[in-house]
Amino acid sequence: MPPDVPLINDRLVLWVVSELHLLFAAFVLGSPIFIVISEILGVRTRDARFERLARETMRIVAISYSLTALFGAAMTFVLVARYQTLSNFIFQRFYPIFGLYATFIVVETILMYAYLYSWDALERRKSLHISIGVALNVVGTLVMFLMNGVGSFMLTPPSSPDRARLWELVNNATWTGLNLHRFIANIAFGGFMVALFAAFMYLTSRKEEDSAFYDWMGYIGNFIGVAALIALPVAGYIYTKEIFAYNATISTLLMADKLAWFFVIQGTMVGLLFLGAGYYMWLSIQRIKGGPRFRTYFRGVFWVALIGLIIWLVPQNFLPSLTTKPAGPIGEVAIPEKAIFLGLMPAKGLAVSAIILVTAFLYLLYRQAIATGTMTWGRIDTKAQLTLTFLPAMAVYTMTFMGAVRESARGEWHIFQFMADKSAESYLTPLGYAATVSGLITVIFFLLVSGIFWLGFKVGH
Amino acid sequence: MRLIITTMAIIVAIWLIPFVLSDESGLKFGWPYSVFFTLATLFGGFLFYLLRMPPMGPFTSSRRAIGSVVLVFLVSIGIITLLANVSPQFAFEGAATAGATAEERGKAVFNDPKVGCFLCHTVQGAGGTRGPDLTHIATVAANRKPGMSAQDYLKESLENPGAYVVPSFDNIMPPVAKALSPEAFSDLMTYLKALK
Repeated sequence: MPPDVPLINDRLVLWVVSELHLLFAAFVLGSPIFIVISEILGVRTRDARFERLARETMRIVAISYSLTALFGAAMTFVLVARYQTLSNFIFQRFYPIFGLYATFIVVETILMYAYLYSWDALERRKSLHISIGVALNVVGTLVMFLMNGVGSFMLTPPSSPDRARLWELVNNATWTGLNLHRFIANIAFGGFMVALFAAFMYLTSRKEEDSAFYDWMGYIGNFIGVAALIALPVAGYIYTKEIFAYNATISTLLMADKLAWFFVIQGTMVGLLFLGAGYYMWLSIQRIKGGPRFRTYFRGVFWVALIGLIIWLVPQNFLPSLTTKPAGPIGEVAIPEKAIFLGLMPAKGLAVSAIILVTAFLYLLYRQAIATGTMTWGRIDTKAQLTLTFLPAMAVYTMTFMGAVRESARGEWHIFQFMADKSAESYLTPLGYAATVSGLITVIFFLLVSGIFWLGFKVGH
Repeated sequence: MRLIITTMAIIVAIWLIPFVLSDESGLKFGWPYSVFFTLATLFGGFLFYLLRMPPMGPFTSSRRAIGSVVLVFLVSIGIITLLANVSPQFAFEGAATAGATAEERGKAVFNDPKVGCFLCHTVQGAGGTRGPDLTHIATVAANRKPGMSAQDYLKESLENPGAYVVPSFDNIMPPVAKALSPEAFSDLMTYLKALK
């Protein structure tokens, strides 16, 4: 760190509060999607567990909602107080969008509390209750789309940001990609957070009935997380392609220059998410009658996923940027000539596709084992519950870390090639620093979420 | 035991193979790759060890359960953070170039991804190869076109790159000067003229 950068500065404060706001926002926006689906499944299958899952998750969402607002207000405060030129421009150009945003937030809040507190009152009018839930999701998604318009605008603004029409500002080159990516990522994130909650509750439960329920809930959370995770790389690819089409130099910075090693770390985390999800299924299958007969297939899948992950992560070189001159011969730190294909996108794409496909295959095997055997809920290996702790750790860390990458992609610009960042902290943060800050944010988020679980479900019980 | 032996054998092979292979083979990985493959092998060994681990029973107390959850969370985050910190790092670089010399500012322009010179041109071993090596461009430019000074040749190359295309290279360079402010253009010229 340069000597003139204090330990805590405006940029760091904005970074931390923005990420915490976005993490809670992702949770309160992503979870209601499957909460409503769970409620619908409860009505259709008459399985009371779906109803309980929906209800308990909604309670966590409600508590998280206030923290989302709190960090959102803190973010706005820092922006207005310390980044006046930028916030003035953004608020003026997007004034109608912020007006709509505020309106939708009010509507969303009303719908959220109506959905939560009318559960018993509308016990006999389920379709009305579900309709409120669906409306909550529609409004929540619109809120996200509106703010994605502002966020994506900063990276890919139209040609004349000060004169462009409002729709051109919002519907910028990467709005669609960001919407799609965040929508799917929020569902994955919500799923893994439910799994974390279930693991927390399972490990601290003393009743067999609760253990059985939270074991099942963890299974559902992992299922939602994995299902969305499988689709996520496709959305990520679309988003990156939009960035590339907008300005190839951003992609160069991201994939070949200073931020290239950030993607090695991101690949590590995403790969661990896939392997972790697979390991949970491996442990889960052990307690299914007849399940162990699938173990050979599982081992094969782990081999493919592991090799795929290694190919995905093999770096093209060990240089921090494209312009770094190696200390020794280039052959020491760059991939050898005849193995160069390992460092190129076709190999990476194939490796990622293989990981996705084998994970999907693993899930089909898992479903087959459940369909043909007898599952004993509440008697799972404790390691499976610890794996459900590991998965959200990786999911949250990946989100915070990739948030840093997305912001870094603008380089020294507040608004790309339009408004320069002239603050004292206008620099690209090196990988280690970005990862450390992201790790700290992840830990803070985890502590806050643990507090919510504890206050909401343990204190007084 | 078999797992440990297999893992160790792979690691030994990773470190021995580069000694056996010649530089001409085109398959000789440097030591950072050996470290990378060693870590990957250790991780693979750990993964398959996890598959063989006996089942773990429930925790005897809530405190122990919560402690384990916290431990898993912190260790996972810690390992990734550690990996990121031992990976290649670039230095903190401020966008502000106040106080820098014209040559230093010009170098910053050259290496700015948004200008993109370095993507195609190499200077002192770093950069792309789609365009000519510019390590000694000031010297080369002075003799490139008879009767034309280095200053004029470089100016022409930035304003109208197609006016003279170095043999064996394609005419792919955009007129970079149009994308630069007069100050940035001047700084870039100063930097290029210093590459003797």
